[in-house]
Amino acid sequence: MLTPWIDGFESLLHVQQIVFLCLGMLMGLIFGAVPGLGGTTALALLLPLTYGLDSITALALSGGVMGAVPMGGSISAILLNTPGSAPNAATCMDGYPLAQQGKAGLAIGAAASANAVGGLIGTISLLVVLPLSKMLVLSFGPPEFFLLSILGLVMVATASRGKMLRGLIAGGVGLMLSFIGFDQVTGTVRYTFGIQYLWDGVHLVPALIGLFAGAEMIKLWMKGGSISGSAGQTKITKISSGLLETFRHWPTVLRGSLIGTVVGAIPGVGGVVASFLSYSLTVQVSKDPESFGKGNIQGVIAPEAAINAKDGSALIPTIAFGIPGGAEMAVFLGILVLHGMQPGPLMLIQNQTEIYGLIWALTAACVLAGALGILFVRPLSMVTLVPAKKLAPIVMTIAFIGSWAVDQTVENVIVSGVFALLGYIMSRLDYPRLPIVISLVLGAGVERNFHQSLAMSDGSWSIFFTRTICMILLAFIATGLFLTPARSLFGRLFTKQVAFPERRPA
Amino acid sequence: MKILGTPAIRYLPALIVWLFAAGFLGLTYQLPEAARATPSLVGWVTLGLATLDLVSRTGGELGVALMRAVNPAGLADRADNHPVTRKDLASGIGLIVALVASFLVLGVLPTTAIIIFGALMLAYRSQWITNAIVAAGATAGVWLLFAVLLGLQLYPGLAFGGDL
Repeated sequence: MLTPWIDGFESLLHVQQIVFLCLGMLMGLIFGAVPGLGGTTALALLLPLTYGLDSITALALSGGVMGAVPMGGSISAILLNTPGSAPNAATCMDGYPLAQQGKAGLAIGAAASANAVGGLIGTISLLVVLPLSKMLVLSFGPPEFFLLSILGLVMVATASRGKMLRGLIAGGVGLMLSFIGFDQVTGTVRYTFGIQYLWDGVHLVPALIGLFAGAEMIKLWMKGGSISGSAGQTKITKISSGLLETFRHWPTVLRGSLIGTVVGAIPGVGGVVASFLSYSLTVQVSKDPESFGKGNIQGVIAPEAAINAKDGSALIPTIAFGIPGGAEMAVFLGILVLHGMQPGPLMLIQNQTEIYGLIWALTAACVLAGALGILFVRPLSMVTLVPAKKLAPIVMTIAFIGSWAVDQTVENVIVSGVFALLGYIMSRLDYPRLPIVISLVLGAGVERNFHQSLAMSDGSWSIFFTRTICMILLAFIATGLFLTPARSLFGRLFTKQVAFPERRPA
Repeated sequence: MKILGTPAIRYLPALIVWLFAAGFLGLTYQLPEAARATPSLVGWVTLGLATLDLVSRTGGELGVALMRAVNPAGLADRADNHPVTRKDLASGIGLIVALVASFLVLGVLPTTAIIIFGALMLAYRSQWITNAIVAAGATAGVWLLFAVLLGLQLYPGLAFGGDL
């Protein structure tokens, strides 16, 4: 049982893997620190560049990025009151007041150690759950996989914060786009309009680069100005005391990590919910709730532990079921596919060394990113001062060249351009982008499993209603669909009491 | 102009999705029966959802109730969007279009230099020396990364012998 763990660890013990892990961490810290970039853009930009690498090196690089992004985000949240990524917004509430009191080093130290402990707990949960999910996933047949994919889509749409219908529509459009090309079930070529490039369908990597890196850079370009304010005058001292603070407040770290672990494993919910849930629970159980928002170190520890714990557990649905729980995981899934791995049951059996190598890389990144972040804290805060209009065209151009580099096909650049515009329009019109990506990823599997299910039952739909796991999945789908209307109804029937509303972000 | 209590422009996104789904269904029914089983199911469901979206945008009791139930966040004007001027919008979209067109016609390296220099000039007209240095540096970086390190033969563009 321990063999895959050891094999995975050994696969990382080479100079090349360690160098790429460190490169990934540096990239993750920089992209995490700069608001508007974040882990998804970092992975989207990196995705084509991993093309020439072997799978273990590519996973080490990706693990480095994913493990380091939260630490980068916490530095800009604490020093500049500008969260590098959305989940770090919770860190601002107490991190920035601490920085204003001259305790930036304390907050950064605490964030680094909370990140490391949270990340460790998240990866331990992944190590425990993965063998169990392997047993579960092997008991699934085509009807279960079909319904599981639909459940993934419904959950992502439901989690789109009050935009369930628009999320479902985006999912539907994504599925339609996924049907473009050669149909493996019937051998028919569909919706290609005579364009040979489209026979392989909408290529996932250029679409991801357009939807995330492209669309985000259009937004950054239009926003303009400096990305954030200056941190030049902030003193950074007492970092070592901050590192110890996490261990003094171990119940806070443990609570945050557990919240992050559970939330991360649910597709679509994401880091924002994990960090704010962890923060608000810490406020509620605190003996001194009034001190939060004014510079309580637990207000930094709680969200940071949750954010990093989430990263490990978010890999569970991605690897075990092939259902990416968020945008970052969707792009990461693109990296897996690019390197010939097929997330789902097959990957759990055939790519154990790669999976455990990734887990070790993520663990190392979670622990080491804190140290690296502390080492480069000043230059990292300076990166956020680069004007948006200088950064956007450079990142966008490199991303589009990367899209071409995947298989040196110039049509990829056109696809990236189309999806960049689509992503920007969706963002302006408040349509969530994640369901479209999830659908592009799941589309082929949905159709194959649907056909196989009907073949198993001689064309009868009853197969979806007579198997135990199918019934459970259907119950979850129904709950997901009724959750938003029910929440809205209850929200209007009962007055909502929000703890410390003045401290909530607008 | 208002339709059922809502400005006509507010229906546009839902209407586009509706037309897209309808067009998709039109194409789907030209396929053999086995090949259209899943696409037609998805097409009809999306068309139904787009219809719900259209109805939820109307100003009457039904529309308001539906909006509260399925899209409680409301419409885009309540989203976390910063105001965008027409100039910003044109330059942002123009940047993407120019990038793709230049890539096709001129290839990788000229595109990197031209697009980055052009975009920087658009934003910082007076700093043309800095802009030229940044564009040249980025082009050199792209050449180093893609041509030297990854060993790729960079696309020359249609104008210089490349093909689609």
